[in-house]
Amino acid sequence: MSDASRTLRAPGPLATAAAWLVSALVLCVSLARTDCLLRHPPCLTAHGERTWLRWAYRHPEPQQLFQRIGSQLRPGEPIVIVAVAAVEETYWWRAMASYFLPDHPIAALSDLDRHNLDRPPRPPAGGPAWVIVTAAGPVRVLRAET
Amino acid sequence: MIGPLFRIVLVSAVAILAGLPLVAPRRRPAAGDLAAAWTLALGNAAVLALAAGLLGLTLSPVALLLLLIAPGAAAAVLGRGPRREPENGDPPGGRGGGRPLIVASSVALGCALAALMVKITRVPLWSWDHFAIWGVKARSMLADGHLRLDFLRSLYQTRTDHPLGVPMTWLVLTLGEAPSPAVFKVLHALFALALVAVLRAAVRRATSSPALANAAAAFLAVSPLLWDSEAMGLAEVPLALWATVSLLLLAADLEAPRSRPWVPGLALGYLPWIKQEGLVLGLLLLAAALLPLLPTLQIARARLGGGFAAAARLCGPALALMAGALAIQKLVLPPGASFFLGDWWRRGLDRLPLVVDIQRRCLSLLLQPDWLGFWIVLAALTAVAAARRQGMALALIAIVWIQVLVYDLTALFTYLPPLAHLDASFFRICAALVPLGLLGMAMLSRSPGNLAEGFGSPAGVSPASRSRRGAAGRPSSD
Repeated sequence: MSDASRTLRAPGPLATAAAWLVSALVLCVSLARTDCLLRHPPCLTAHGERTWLRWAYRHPEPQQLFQRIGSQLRPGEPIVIVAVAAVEETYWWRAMASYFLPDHPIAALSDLDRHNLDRPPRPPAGGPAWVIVTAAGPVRVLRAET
Repeated sequence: MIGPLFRIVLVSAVAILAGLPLVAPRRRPAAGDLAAAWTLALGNAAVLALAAGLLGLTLSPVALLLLLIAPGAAAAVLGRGPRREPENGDPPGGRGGGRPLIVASSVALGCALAALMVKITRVPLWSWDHFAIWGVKARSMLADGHLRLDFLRSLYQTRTDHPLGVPMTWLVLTLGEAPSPAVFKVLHALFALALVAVLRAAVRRATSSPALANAAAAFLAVSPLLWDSEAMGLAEVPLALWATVSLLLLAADLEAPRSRPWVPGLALGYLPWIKQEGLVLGLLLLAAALLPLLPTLQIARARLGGGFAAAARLCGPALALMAGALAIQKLVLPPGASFFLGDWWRRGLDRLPLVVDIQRRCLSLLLQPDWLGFWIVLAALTAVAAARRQGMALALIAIVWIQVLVYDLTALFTYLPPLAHLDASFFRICAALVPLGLLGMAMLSRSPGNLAEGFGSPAGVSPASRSRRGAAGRPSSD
């Protein structure tokens, strides 16, 4: 390609002005956002974060929670999840369990009465393991023989 | 974490080497070429891996690497690559605003990317659709190297019929190992960086201005597509990436001395493998890609055969891949809850009184400050493009608006409450159109020309002059 043709392709003054303007805008936005991100906790204010984060990320650290559950299960063992408001949040528990524990079918979900922690339910013999998740985070797995 | 990272680095290196014979044969590649090569090779490998998996073949790490290498190796060995391609069209620095602007735009791009990386590091993986749709497929669809899709039927209230291209692409990158949330963040960062590099290369090729290219890439990095962590682990970034790669490859093909339109055709055809709306977007881009051929056809009526042959080599692979994606969706995947479930036509008619409310909601979502004025500027420049009759820029901007209109009208017919449907996804899916809009706007910086002018065709090398250069009105092809 000749130099002449390259010159023809050079953007005009409006494009140059636009490049200056966009660069300045991006610089300001990036610095402001980085400052906001480095705070504790980081501010998450993008549209999706404002709209959906609290709804979708209702139990913080789901990865750690399901790792704790998974570490106590036998391979392929079906489970009943017993947690506060588990029935109301069926979609959350089922989606997260499918994601983090794909080899453990969920037989059912059951609500946990937070005032009744000292009397845990007794799993029926030969049935799935019962995973008790307390609001504070500790996880207990109950089986009929235990 | 070291093991998966090593795999990703290894596969990425192989993907770049495998993709380069397709993307930038026999010339020194720029960063955008490397990103395009990576993207194209991964897409090809994902299609081949899904096909092999459906045929019951084992997708071992070695098999995945072979599938990654195969298309590029075939192109390098069997294809007749150009003897000598021009360099990537990057002019020497200092053009389009001078050195200070190039430095300033580079600094802006660097800051934007640094902020993005900080964000990806600090923000947890939280997006619901990642856990319920995209991520769960990547974590469950391969078991001991065998494609396993029966788990889709047991997923709870999710879109089981969404395409499998993106999850399979992630699995190719990890050589079949189910990605952890940390690995998903690495993958998201890679796709984001590739998209920034490809857009920068496409704008630079279209405008010859490194400053404008840096500015567009920097804006993309702070736009909701990459900045809003809701998109992390979803398919919006891959959709935008493959669409932008296809445009970059189309432009490169128009400038190449020996045309290989089937290469951009492969990238276009992969769009429906990523998301269902990729079908509409792919067809629109395919139609736009044919625009540069139109003047050729008009000028060289006696050589129609050549023009049609070039169009066929572009459309053939693209349409075949699109058909494949549709076939898998209809024949293999369990039926999902389509938005057009039930009597959608009657539903649309019943909702006609809501049209104003729907438009108002769409407008309100597009005017959110998160967009940093993107849609307002795009609307203003649409009028400029129309007034100046800048064909390719106008076509690209029109595609963006048509796609927005498709999303908008879907709300009229969906089985979901229309305003709730828009609130759930309209903002996010429109974000995937930002790179195309930025490219269209950048193309307006060039002087007005004919229908095909504005992208790919070097100034001074109009379609008319190309028709004199090649037998079919285009550069000769393999």
